[in-house]
Amino acid sequence: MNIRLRKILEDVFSDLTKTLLVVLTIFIGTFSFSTILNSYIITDREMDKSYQATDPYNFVLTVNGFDADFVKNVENIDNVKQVEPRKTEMVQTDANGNLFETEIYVIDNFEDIKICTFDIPDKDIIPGTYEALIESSSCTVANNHKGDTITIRKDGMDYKLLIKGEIKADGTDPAWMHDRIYLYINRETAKRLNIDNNYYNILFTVKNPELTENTIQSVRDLLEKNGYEIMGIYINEKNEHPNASQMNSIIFLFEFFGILSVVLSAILIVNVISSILKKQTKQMAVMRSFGAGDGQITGMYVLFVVIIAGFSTIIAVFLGKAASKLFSSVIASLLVFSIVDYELPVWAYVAESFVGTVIPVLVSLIPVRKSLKITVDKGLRDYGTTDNRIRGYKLFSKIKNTKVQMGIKNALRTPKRLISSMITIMIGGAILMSSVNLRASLEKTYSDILDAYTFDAQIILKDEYPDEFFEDVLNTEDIESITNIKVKYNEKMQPENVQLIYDNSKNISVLNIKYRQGTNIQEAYLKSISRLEGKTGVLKSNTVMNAEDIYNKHLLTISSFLTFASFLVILVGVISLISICGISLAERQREIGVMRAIGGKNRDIYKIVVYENLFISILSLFLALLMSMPITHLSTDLFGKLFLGGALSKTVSFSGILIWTAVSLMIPVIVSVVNAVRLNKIPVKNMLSYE
Amino acid sequence: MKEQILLENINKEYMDGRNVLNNINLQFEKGKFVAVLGESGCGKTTLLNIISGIDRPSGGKIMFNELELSTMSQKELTRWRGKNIGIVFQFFQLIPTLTVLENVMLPMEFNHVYDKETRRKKALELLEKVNIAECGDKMPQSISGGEQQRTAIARALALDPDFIIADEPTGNLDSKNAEIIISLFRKLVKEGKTVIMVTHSEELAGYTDRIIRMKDGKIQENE
Repeated sequence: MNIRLRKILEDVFSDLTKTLLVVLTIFIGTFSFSTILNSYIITDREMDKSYQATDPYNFVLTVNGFDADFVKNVENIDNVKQVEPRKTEMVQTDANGNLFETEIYVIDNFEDIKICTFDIPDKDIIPGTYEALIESSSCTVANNHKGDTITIRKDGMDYKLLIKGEIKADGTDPAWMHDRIYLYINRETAKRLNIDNNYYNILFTVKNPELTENTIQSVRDLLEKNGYEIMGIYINEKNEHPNASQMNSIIFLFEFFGILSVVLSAILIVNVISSILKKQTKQMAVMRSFGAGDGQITGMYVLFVVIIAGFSTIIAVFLGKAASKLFSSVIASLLVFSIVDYELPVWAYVAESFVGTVIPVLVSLIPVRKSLKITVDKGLRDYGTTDNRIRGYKLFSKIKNTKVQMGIKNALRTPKRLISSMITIMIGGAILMSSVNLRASLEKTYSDILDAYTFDAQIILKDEYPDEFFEDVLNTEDIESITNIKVKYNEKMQPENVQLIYDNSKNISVLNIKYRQGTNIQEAYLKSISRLEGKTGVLKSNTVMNAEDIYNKHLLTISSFLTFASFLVILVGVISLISICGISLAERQREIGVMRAIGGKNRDIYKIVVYENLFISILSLFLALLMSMPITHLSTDLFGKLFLGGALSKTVSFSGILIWTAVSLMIPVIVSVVNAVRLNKIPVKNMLSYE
Repeated sequence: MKEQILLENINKEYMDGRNVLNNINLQFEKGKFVAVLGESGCGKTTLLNIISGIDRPSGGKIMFNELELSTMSQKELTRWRGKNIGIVFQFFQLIPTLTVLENVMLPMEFNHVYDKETRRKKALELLEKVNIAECGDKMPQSISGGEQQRTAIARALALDPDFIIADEPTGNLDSKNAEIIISLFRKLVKEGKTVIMVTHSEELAGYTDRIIRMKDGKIQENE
């Protein structure tokens, strides 16, 4: 074997701890990048693909008193590709006394769904009379599954429907997030449930989307000519998944955390490689003394990095693929879309290999070139401890406790490494604190929103009624006040992510009810609904308490995602903290040997090392705290706009500070003690040896 | 009682089977300047490491007065070494983050002797003794090799040990500085200390009271 290659292999295995640290550093950076990049590619591609696969409508006309058989008359209009009538009815599902908002879709022909399609895996589950299909993400809302009977409450009447099967309907709003149930029934069941033909939706796809407006006009003319009253027109201009905006914010975070993890990992690589090369200074000088050129030596150490980086990259890319598969499927399930294809393009593997091998090689050139600047003479006289420059020693010499003084001075011995390490630790801490602050800000904002409600329950009726009507119907001692607001029907029933371009809907009453103090709100609310249902139809209803539950679910999703994404960055920060503690100790092995030789006891050594690492981590902690403030400011603004359409109430959470403080204090102590115990086991004579 | 170190049938065998020390029997008494001479690899440094408790023998017994060192734990050895042995290294091995004065005070702190003020006073006295009192506030890197080695000797004397072990203390110094160090050792011996010094130099060995010549792990001459 080539002697140079053999030397490199020997170096790889001679200090296994440091080699493993480099492997881990490159692995974490590449794994984070790989997971994030792959998840980004898969989710971005599959969300749109799965949405387009459902044949989403281009526009919808809502008409009163529609006869589904009339559809064949509009099919032949120019530019119309597909037409499908689909009545949507809002009812409530009664599960053990709790009411859940339920959206029922009346499907004309389950065997020929043309628009906003979904897969029916087995023809046997096609629902008959008093049967329904349930959208799979709704199953957990009221705990209803295939084979169960679900109780539908409509206009004061209870109807029992057998759940014939579960289906996945990509493109619906996440049921779990809104506490909503989606059911699909046939026309016969709709008739039995007394679902009328008013506000009947007619879904259209077009051949040429550019001519959509003309097509809408033609359809409208035909329907009006045949006596139909158009109540509203929606247009799906964006033609994207309803949750695309949430996805965009996730993608933004993917990009942010992906880049951050690569940068942090690169800094860490420079640190670890520098510390390895520190030990090799003498060997480099020896090789140069007998004629090795700078290029040859650089080549040797680059090969060292290539071997380690290649190994780390293979594992990172492989595990990154598996992790991204898992992570993408979680996002897909949260945002309701299907992933059919987890395949990744070749460029993704190329980019990941670049990050895993080329970046480490490039950044390792910094310490290699720096080491080569040391003269042969100086390199040959390198005995590890005598050549360091001390910064600000005079200031720290005033510290009375010698061990504290030595610890702090040791931390300042390699200022460049100290700064770069502190940057990685600081960013890790700042991201953690900002994530916790963001969560606290969301919590506070939701709590402010809920506090701002001046009512306990909201009931949306199918028609408009005068105030006196409610005085009669809802005349109970539980109620303190009722506010009757009139809004347009379409305003409350408009699907998300589409534009309402024509609104002819009638006014409906929205009742905001405040119950008297001490009243059991859930019971009083159910009583109000039951009284109203005897006289009129209820479109939607909810209590503020339920709204709080829904907010909490939003919060859970956002914070779970944030935790995952920030975890990778925090991990790099923690590894940085571990490595800086380990490296500085390993570098001063001989110095520790000297201290032990002149009477220093194990606990003296522990103390010096612990003080050194605590100094670094406490300094980083303060910097992280400072840095977390602007990050919190920016992230609360961004999240506020994305999720709530406005700024969040900015809150600083002490739990984030406490967690990072605990991490910052515990890790240096643990790592220092573990390393010091390891070093203390090395015989003094070995520590003092020069080679 | 006169302080003494006694080595009986000391052997040192390494993991690879190499026998570095072979049946060594020696006695070191207080107030002597002893040179250990021999070629590289003959076992001189291993012998010093065993005397100072830095290394343990594979066989045999080391006695410090009534105390058997070979049975002591690492912790006990460290305590014993701090109190009774001063070590001077070839490459000085000063702590680069501490001033010259602080380097001398460090063993006192490790061994919890004297209060802070007395430590400073004693350390200054030691620096005066080795003629570098003016370097007290300097950092080790900013003084010459000879001054660094004198600092190392002052540090070795910090706990007033009876024995000074010096491994090639002049190996990294020019002849002028080497002479200063040797005369310093002679001064210490006159004050009643024992200095055991490993050297390659016959000339420097000529200044000592006793020469132990080693070859292949054995004592060749003990005069």
